[in-house]
Amino acid sequence: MKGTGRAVLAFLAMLVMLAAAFAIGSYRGYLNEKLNVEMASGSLDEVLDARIEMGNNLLTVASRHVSQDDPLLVSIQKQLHALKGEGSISEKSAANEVLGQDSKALLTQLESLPSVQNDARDLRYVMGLLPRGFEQSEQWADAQNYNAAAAAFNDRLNGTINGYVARLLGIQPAELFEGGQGQ
Amino acid sequence: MMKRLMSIALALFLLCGITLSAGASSTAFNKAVDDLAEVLHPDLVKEISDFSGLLKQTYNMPVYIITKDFLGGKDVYAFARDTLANQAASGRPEVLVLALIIGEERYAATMAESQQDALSLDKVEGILNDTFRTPYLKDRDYNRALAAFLLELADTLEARTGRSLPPQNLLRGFAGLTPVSLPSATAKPNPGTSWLDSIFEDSQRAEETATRYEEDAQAARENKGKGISLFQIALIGFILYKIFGKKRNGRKGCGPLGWIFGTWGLSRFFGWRK
Repeated sequence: MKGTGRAVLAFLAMLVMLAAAFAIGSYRGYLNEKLNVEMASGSLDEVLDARIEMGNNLLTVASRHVSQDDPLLVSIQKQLHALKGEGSISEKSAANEVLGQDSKALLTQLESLPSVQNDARDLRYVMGLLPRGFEQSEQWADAQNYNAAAAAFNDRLNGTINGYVARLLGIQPAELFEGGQGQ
Repeated sequence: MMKRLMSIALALFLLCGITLSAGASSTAFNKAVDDLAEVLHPDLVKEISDFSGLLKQTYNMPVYIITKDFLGGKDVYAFARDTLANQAASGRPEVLVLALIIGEERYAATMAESQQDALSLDKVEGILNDTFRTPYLKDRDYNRALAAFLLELADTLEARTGRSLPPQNLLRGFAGLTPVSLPSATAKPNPGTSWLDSIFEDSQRAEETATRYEEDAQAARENKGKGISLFQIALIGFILYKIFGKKRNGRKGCGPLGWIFGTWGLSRFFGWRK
């Protein structure tokens, strides 16, 4: 009897230790994966600097031909401020999308202005360098790579027992970066 | 004999390669003009390169002129100082840097503190105001503005040091001071550069960041299925049982299942298996 009691205790202890090892292993495993996803997010954040530069370049040219309270100009300034700030990925994603749309609209507006038409240098910028620069910066900041990594991580986190345990222990799903379309 | 000849030929080939590349790199570092915005006449670019050599010989003050379309929001003086630091790192600490940001209509000059005994930054700013920020740039005549700047710089250095340069007829022609007929030609693209260099503050860094982002995202996406399999865990557990799990001194040890479960638990704990 004594031996049986000890065996049962040992068995229960083994189950507890296995459960603890499972939980700790799940947490550590998913924490490392989350850190890798966040590293990709950090790199994406740095690449967004190129979008900010292009936005500044567009504002430089536009300021010479439209008034400072032009709605598109004001909106682009606001989006650049959001991109430079410490906001979440969702906020930056939204700002990036609006920047893409507004920059395209502003370039179209500038193209039609007589003052730009009469200025060979600024016309070259508006019709050539600036659109190409925006296109290039969008390619660099292609969020699909990051989103694929974040979505795969979220699928594993939400679709496995390990992931369920990791979520219980505090691992949050990764945010997606939705935007960068349009310019 | 053949082998020896091949070795000598290979050594000579390598030596030529090293010499040529060293020559090329030193030429690159001694460049006087980087016309990334493609606004300067190619003959003027060549003339400035020769003129810079004369300035170095006579006044120990060569020039380095860089034109770009935009800086992406960076301050032009900070850009000029960074450019000066890069020139110093390339072995040209005494150079006078002139940064012309065409699209932003901002211009800045800077030089090392050690050079400012011969010519103060305030004086250089004055020359910049007289040439770039006033008359010629109404017509965006960058060739004329730059030629005028360099001639005025040389005149100032001559007045301060008493040493003069030979007459610069082509420069004077570009500055409109001498009726010299100039060949009509458009600016040439800078070899070894791309259009991105004129529109981003540091396009190389931007490309490297983009590559790093792609690699990080790829690594994060592939972060699955790593680690040892259940079969391997069971095998390791069984081997450990065979080594350590036998009865010793009449005492019973854990059975094979105990060792296997224990190995599995350790694998979870240390993350050997996802």
